[in-house]
Amino acid sequence: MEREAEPLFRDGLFRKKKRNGEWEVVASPIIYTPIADSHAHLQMLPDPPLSLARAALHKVEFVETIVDVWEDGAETFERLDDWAFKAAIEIRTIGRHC
Amino acid sequence: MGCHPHNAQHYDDALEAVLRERLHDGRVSALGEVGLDYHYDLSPREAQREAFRRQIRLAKEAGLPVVLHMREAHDDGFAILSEEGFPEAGTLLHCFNLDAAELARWTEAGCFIAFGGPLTFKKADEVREAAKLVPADRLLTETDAPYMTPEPLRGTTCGPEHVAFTAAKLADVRGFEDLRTPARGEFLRQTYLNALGLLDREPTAWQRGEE
Repeated sequence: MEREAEPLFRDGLFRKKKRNGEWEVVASPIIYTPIADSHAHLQMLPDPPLSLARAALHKVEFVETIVDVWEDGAETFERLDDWAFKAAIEIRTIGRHC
Repeated sequence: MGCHPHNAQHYDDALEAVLRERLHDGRVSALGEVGLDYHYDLSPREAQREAFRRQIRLAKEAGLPVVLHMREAHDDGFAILSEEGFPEAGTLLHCFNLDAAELARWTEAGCFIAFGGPLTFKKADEVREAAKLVPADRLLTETDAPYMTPEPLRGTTCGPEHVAFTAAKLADVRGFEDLRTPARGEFLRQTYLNALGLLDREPTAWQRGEE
């Protein structure tokens, strides 16, 4: 059976699903310095700009995205700059709701 | 950018031509993820080994580091890299989830080691023990998003922001549990600088078409 799609929360909070189906907020790790995600598959995420914006809010200042030459096509190459641009806009919105 | 071992059976001259073209994009900073996966065996093993070999050679030709995916195939993977030679631009072993005994030969060969969600998993003490032994200048953090979500969020979709949980756990494992100490921040900053040093690079001469 296909897993139920997760809701997209447009804020910087982390959440996990409780047994009653509600999503509860989980405390964010306290990070004061920039950190890196050296391996992500951005094109497989439901909303790459939102993910990049959320990452920036949590001090993730470098993200390396992985592309497979056989199965991923050209999407990342064509859209990466647009994702980054939209993420910069998204930060201004979700940053107010942390 | 690379051909995952799952897709190795499709790696031929035509696909390599596409890969070569993509690698010339100046935003590409590494060749990967490439390697061997004997757990799923979605491509025949001989095809995996051949695609891996060809992509190591291509990484060296392009002057790019390689990002490795190794699953239940570390002996063969290390042997092939030893035969071909580790790329001068660097080798990053992605999603390390084994023990200290396996770790040793990779760090001795100068590889960078990236830890992701498995570092936080409850039954992964051996991974945490291994993480204590990696030289600080070879340590990286990662997610493998949308997979490998770290604790306490396992079961939800992983995003790059979740690397914060892995980084925090890595700092704890390395003995920097106290949030107030500058040493914790310096350690995390080191992992960040390691990633930049390896992956945030200017296009190589090959990528610029000068070779």
